[in-house]
Amino acid sequence: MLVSRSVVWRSATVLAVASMALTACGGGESNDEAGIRSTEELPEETVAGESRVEVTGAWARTSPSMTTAGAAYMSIVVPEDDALIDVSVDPSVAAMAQIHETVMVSSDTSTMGTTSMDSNPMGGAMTMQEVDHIDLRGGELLELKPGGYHIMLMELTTPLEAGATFALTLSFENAGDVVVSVEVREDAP
Amino acid sequence: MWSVLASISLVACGASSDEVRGLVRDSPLDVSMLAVTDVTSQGAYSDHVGEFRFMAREGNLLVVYFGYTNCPDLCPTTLAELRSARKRLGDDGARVDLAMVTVDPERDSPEVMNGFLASFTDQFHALRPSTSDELGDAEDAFLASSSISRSPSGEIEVSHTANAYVVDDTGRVVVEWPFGHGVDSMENDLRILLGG
Repeated sequence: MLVSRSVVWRSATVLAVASMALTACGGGESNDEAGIRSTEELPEETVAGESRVEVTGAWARTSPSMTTAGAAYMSIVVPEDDALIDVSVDPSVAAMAQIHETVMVSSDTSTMGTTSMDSNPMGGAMTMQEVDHIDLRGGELLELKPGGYHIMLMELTTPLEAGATFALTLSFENAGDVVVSVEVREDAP
Repeated sequence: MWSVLASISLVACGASSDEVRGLVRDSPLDVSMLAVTDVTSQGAYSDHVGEFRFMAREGNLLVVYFGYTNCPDLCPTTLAELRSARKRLGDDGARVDLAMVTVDPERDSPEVMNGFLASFTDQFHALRPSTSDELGDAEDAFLASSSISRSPSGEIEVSHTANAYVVDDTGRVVVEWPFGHGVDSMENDLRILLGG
């Protein structure tokens, strides 16, 4: 369930204006591969010490030849309960980005054309589906990784090639937009 | 033509001290009689003739995977893991071939499949069922399944069994890797099965 916070952000003075373009303004880039760039300077009084979204290890797999779908993964820690509600990418990278989750399909759900064998314990089908949002607990690590949550990039404009980086914007309900630098690699870091 | 080599050392018969980490059935699945339309047009096995039967070349192992190329997470992950595992095997890596059966033949043209698979290895078989029966029969033999549906927003959702199956040159599934087993397991199992 989405959690609405009322304490931290509204206690600041010019928050009503700044909140529209609120970004996690870190002291600088973290020493991991992913960097967090603030897109706007925040007035000093609105920046609390721990109020910073941390995104580390952001990477996307090189896209196989002839394919137009890609996936990005990363680790996220938010300072307090929040929700990842949207994600976007520049059109020069892909037409669209969505939050997806890879899940096992229960044998109860049958769709047209299913040939599932319920009696097979090892033959569980899996699927990747879009999710509306991901709830995050404050201080807890959320991992987007292969086989779990991931950012799906749809209709890649150009193939993702090893060594390239691109910007991905994560939108949080409370923390606002966070721009992440994603490194393209063949395998996980 | 397809001689059954009963004494093949590829099957993990318990003689080695290491154990395979993947799943092994008491009665190995026999998939030797299954055939799927082969659309391989590049790579090591582009000179194929006729349908593809699920059997490794003599002395080799064949990893079979059901998937589709628009798959952003499961399929590239599994195939990338296999690519890494083969690399770790050094020269023996060349004894491991890949066959991918598309569960989405409508969107996966032969051209797309070949490009996709060539990104992971040169030794691949691109298998594209010509009919839904052909796909269904192949899946049944591996006790796998898949389905394609359209979400309310019009997006195509594909679900499929995300295991990788290792087939020996007699057409038997000697080990299965459910998704998530990872490179270490693949390398471990392949080493044992190749009799290294």
